[in-house]
Amino acid sequence: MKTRKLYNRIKGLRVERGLSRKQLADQIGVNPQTVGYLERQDYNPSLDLAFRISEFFEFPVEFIFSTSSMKPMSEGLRDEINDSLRFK
Amino acid sequence: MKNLKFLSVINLAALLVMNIAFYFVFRGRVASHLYDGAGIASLVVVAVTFIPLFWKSGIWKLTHAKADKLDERELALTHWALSESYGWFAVICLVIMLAFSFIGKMNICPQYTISMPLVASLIYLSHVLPGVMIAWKYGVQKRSE
Repeated sequence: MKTRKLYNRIKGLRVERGLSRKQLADQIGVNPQTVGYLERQDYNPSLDLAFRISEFFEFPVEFIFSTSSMKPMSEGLRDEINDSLRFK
Repeated sequence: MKNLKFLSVINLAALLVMNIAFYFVFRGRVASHLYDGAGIASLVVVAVTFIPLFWKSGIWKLTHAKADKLDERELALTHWALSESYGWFAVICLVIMLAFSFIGKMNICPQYTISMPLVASLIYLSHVLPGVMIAWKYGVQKRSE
C-alpha cells in the first residue's frame, strides 16, 4: 500500500516559538534528525507522535497536519481577518 | 550522500578483490606474493573506507543500537535496512554455495574449500549490509546522544 504524503506546519510553529530542532526533539521524544525529516515532510509520523506534537504545540492535530498542501499561517490569518472585516 | 554511495561501492569492491586475491593465494599459483599484496591492500582499503562510511556517518551506531534507544523513524529505517540486507545476504550466500558446487563438479580447483577470509568476509558483510542499504538510500544518519 502506498502511503499518502502528509503536509505539516511543524517548522513554522517551531521557528515561531524560537526552538531549535534539538529542543523540539527533546520535548517530543525523538532524534533531532527525525524533526528534520518531519519538517521536510519526508516522513509521516505515527498517530502517537502526531498527538505528541499537537499536545506540545497546543493545537489540534488537523491544524498541524493535513493531506493537502498547507497555506502559510500568515495567509490563513489574513483570510481570517478579511472574513471578519467582510461581516462587519 | 553521493560520497557515501561511492565509499560503499569501494568498500564492497575491495572486499570482493580481497577474496579473489586470497582465492588465488590458496590455489598456490605462481606469483602468489602479488596476490598476497593485492589481498592485504584490499583489506587496508576495506578498513580505511569503513571509518567514514560506517563509523563517522553514525550508520554503524544506528544499525547496532538497541530498539529502545531508537525513535519510530529510526526503527522503521533499521527494520527496512535489515529486511533488505537479509534478502541480499541470502542471495550472496546462495550464489557462493552454487559457485562452490560448480567449482567442485567441474574439478576446477578441488583443493579450494571455504577459506577463513571468505568466512570472515561474510561475517563482516552480514554486519555492514544494513548500513550499506541506509548509506545507499538515505545517507548520513548521525544520532545525538
